[in-house]
Amino acid sequence: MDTSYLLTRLLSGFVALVVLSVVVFFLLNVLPGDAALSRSVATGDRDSTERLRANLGLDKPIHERYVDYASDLLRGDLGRSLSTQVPVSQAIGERAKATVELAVLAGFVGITLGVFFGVLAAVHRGRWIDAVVVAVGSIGIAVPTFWVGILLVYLFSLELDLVPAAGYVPLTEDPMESLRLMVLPVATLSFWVMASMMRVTRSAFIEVMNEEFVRTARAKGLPPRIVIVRHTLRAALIPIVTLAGLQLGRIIGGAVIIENVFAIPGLGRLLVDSITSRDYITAEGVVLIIGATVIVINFVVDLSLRAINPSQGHA
Amino acid sequence: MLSVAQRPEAADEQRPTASRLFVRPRLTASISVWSCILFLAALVLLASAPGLVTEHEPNQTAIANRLEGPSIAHPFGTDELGRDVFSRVLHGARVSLVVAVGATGLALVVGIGIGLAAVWGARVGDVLLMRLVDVALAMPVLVLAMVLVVAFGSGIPSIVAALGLVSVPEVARLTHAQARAVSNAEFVTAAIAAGAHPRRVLLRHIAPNAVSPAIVYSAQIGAFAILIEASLSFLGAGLAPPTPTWGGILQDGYRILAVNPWPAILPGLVVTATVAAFSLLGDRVALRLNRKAQ
Repeated sequence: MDTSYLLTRLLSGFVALVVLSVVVFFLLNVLPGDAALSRSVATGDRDSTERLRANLGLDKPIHERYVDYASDLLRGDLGRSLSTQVPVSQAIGERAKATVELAVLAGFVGITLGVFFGVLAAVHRGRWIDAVVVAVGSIGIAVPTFWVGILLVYLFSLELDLVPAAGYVPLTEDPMESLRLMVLPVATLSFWVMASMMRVTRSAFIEVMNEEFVRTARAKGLPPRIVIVRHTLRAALIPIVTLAGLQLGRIIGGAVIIENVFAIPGLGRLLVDSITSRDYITAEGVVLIIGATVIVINFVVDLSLRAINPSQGHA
Repeated sequence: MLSVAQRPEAADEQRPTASRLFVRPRLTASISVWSCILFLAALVLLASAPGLVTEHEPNQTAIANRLEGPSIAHPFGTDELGRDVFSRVLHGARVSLVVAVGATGLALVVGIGIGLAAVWGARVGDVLLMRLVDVALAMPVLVLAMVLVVAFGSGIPSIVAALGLVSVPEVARLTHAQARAVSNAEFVTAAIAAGAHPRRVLLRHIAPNAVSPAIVYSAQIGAFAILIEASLSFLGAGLAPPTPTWGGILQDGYRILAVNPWPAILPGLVVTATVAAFSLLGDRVALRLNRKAQ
């Protein structure tokens, strides 16, 4: 991997982070009613509004406020929550565990199953298994994720009483119980991931199967398994990894809603709670962390794509 | 409506038995297309005139009738407050359809504008703009939409604006790619050689040939807008209750799932069918245009 590519990619990743912080800051600071106002309304003390505003630096012009905000950011200070007074970075640290657990499990299950069924459908193209995969894929991307969650809760928790309907225990505290509670949320989220991965894998695989080198491999009498795994899958890996990378951003987005269905105290729930309680400082921090995570993940995906296929030109 | 034949990838290469060659793909494809059109037409009709099929007001509570299962009087049952869920779903369809149409229109106008502007401007601007689009594309859409709704305030116009804006990057990317390809075409070179003003080249020669991918994609934007609007209102970050919204209805249904599952199950089916219908029609149009182009 050449260093100039690495540098360009690092630079554009950094630019992306700066753009993100600017956009989030300005969006949440054009709001009617600033932090001081909402805090003094919350405490019922209107006289203190101006004092608070000066305290929080809200009386300065907006570009100066951004500079203050950015320099705090660089020191890892995301401010304090307007409702609980807890430092936002601390709240995020506490909540991130649950989201990471959900996202990693769902990503792993969804991408694995999606690639598996996508390949299966491509290999058995036009047969019943292909029909099922295509149908599930189409339904999977049209159905609201949270509704799938509701259906699973109804079926497996209320009717069959196999798994708990909601709740969360950290993996480090009680691994078995934690996984038991994660069954439904992970199933819900990974169904969605699986659906879109199946579609992508299937069409990427079909495309590669029509290539000459696959025909050659088959013609010289290699066993089908070798042709599929060693020749076709390898060549189809590039679009698959690209889309798996894009999935990770969507998984985090999906986690926001899934956490709210299953009462998981993760970042998504923190975001929704902070937005509904008008705690914009917290909301800002969570959005930044989510955005930064997605940017970093994309960076890693880009690098691994280069590793798989060094001949790829500059993106 | 979910047969193999309707999927674009599957439809074009099947084993050439007589029935498959001559009857099935066409027939099932047209059946699925017509059922989507009929479903959406019925939904539009019922959303604009719910009085045709239900006499219940969406917000009219009737504690005596609460938590009922499906019946002739209440096809989707009643919720915790005894409100008729079917009527609420039809009224919620108004919000969803208005948001879908409005957001799609906005995304097309702004996205096509940005995509063309990037081609029109200097190379630096092009790279910069498209990098920005990449950043926006990577963000989780739901999170982006939530931030925008918070910034714009609650209400249908701001939800339309938020859901339109989240689809702008994709439209811009599609238009930009096509416009780049078109700008290398011979007729563009010819127009430039003939001394046409750059603005004329862009608007009369490049633009008309660059917008089709975005237009084809518009059905997907609509489908997507419906899904995201439902997610927002499910989370309580969309339109404020008691305005019936599909997400809000599902949230109400979820809360009473243990005692009466129908108000959570049936409206979800309507949402899924609507999104699937939009996106399937979009797929068919794209497929047909592709075939024509070949």
